[in-house]
Amino acid sequence: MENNVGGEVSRPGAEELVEVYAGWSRKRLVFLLSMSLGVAVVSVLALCVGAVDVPLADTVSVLFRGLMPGLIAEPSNPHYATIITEMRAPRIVLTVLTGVSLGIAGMVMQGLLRNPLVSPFTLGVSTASSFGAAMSIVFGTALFGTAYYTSFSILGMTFSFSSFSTVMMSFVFGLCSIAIVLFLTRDSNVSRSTVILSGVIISYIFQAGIMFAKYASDDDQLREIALWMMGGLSNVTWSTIVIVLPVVLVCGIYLEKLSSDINVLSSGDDVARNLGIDVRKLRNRGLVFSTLITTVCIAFTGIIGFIGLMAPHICRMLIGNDSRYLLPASALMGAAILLISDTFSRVVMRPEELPVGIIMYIIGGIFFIWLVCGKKLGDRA
Amino acid sequence: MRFEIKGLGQGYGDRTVLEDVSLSAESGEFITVLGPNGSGKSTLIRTICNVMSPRQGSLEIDGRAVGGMDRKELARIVSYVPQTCASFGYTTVFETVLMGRRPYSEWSYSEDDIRKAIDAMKVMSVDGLHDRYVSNLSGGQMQRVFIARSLAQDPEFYLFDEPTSSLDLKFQLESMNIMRSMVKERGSCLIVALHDLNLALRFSDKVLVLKDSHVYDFGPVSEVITPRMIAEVYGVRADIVENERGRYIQPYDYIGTVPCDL
Repeated sequence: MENNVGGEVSRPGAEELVEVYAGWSRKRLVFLLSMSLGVAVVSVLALCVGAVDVPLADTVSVLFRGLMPGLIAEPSNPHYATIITEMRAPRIVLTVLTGVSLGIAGMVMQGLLRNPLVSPFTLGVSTASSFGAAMSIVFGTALFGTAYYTSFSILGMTFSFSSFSTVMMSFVFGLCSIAIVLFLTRDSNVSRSTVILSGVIISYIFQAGIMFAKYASDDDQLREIALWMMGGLSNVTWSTIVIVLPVVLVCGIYLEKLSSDINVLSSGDDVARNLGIDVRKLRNRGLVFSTLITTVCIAFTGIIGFIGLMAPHICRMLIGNDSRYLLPASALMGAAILLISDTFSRVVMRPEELPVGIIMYIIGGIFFIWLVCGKKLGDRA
Repeated sequence: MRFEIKGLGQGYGDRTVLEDVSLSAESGEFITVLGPNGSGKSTLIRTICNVMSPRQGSLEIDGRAVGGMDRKELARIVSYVPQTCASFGYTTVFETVLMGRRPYSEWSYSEDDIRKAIDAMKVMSVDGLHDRYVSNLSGGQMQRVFIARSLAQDPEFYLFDEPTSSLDLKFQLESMNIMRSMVKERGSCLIVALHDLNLALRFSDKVLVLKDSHVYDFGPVSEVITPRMIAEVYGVRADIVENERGRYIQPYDYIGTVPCDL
């Protein structure tokens, strides 16, 4: 997008500039459409691979035969339908939703705090969620008694109380972390650095809690905590999607509505206030909704790092910093990165499965080295 | 339109920065705020544009309390360019100037908004930089971009905090001329915090001088900027010299001692 750096600048006419702006919008829309198509294609390919490979034609048959029964032949193996619709499809959908959520949350938090290194991790959300999960795993019996080992049904779906408690505790503590950050920074004149610092402090306090839970746990519980904190997308059912999808949709749409104001915030708090933005309200709402969209996913998946940092960065470099386009682009980029990583984690040691968090840490670490060496952080705030 | 500021008090924590500041500004006036470092010029500008809520006193536009006005309505009346502006990452000059149209738009910008942003870029000669990232510009170029954003905002009152501090001599004069023409041709009102007494002397209609949190003087430029004011407020002995090109200040000595850490 940028040209003429340091060189002689020409003075374009007004009509030319109108066309330039329209061209940027077109380029961004094309990028969003291409990314959507890419995520759809990768999703279908991800459905094909796993412990048992399903041929692409059979996958397409399972997915679309219901829509066009006369045109598409039946799958060659009747078990393929079960493998795809009951085992892989919910996982792929949750992977996409988690990538979308983490991409959006990272982009919104970075925009609100004008810091390219902010993510749900930096603000303590992930650590607080881990603390909640660890507490449930280690102290579940003490907290809930024998009920911890029971199951229950809601709307025809069966949940084990132990899983439910882990999900709920991680969700609640994830939200608690942002509530504490907002409480500590409730003064209207507080700087964005203080918000970030509060998140880091909260993160350390919850980290101490996790260490205590690990210290108090037995071998099985310790392994369960470790696996939860590595992140994973196995054992997903459609009931998970029923819970996650509406939250991601509502939060995503609401944050997109705020995106135009987030743009203005990039010029500084004072300028944003002068341009009619209630900065404190915008920052609080943005942080709460981006935390909500994060915690609802990581409560089910465990900790999946770096998506919230990588996806917005990559998109910012490709289509610029206009949050109206950057938000959906980061969502799609997050989905694409997580889909590819999760698919890799499923096939690299098959039939065993590697926790996707490990893959993400490797990719994220390499990405960060590239960012730091290439000085591509691009912040001047 | 008339901006009326009465008995304004402002501060940070326990520190009082402004006390009992009063002034009035009308459309078609160029008002400069002068004072030594730390006298409260920037705080006054921030308070007038409601970026900071006043601790005491009242701010009214045509008899309406500024605090009670809708944020977007106020943004259409008052624009503000701070001393230093932030720019996050990959935001272009065009997009930055277009932000000035935010008070008139919702989620997207109309063609009218885009054309007004283009006009503002052309006035400040930054249209050639339209696709450059703001974070990659020089301080002077950035300052012109932020003034252009303020022009795109198309308000009645412009509040600028040291708008020429990063500009070279030519752009200082050019920017001040543009501001002057905004006052004379468009009937806008400018309230500008400045350090350069010569620019204030040359371009202002009225001058407000701050000293020790209070208003030292407020009135027409020729009555306020005097060798006595310069000596009492800045601690500098100066002559005001007049020739065929106008009046200018020639400092020749300072009063007292300069702190040794300078």
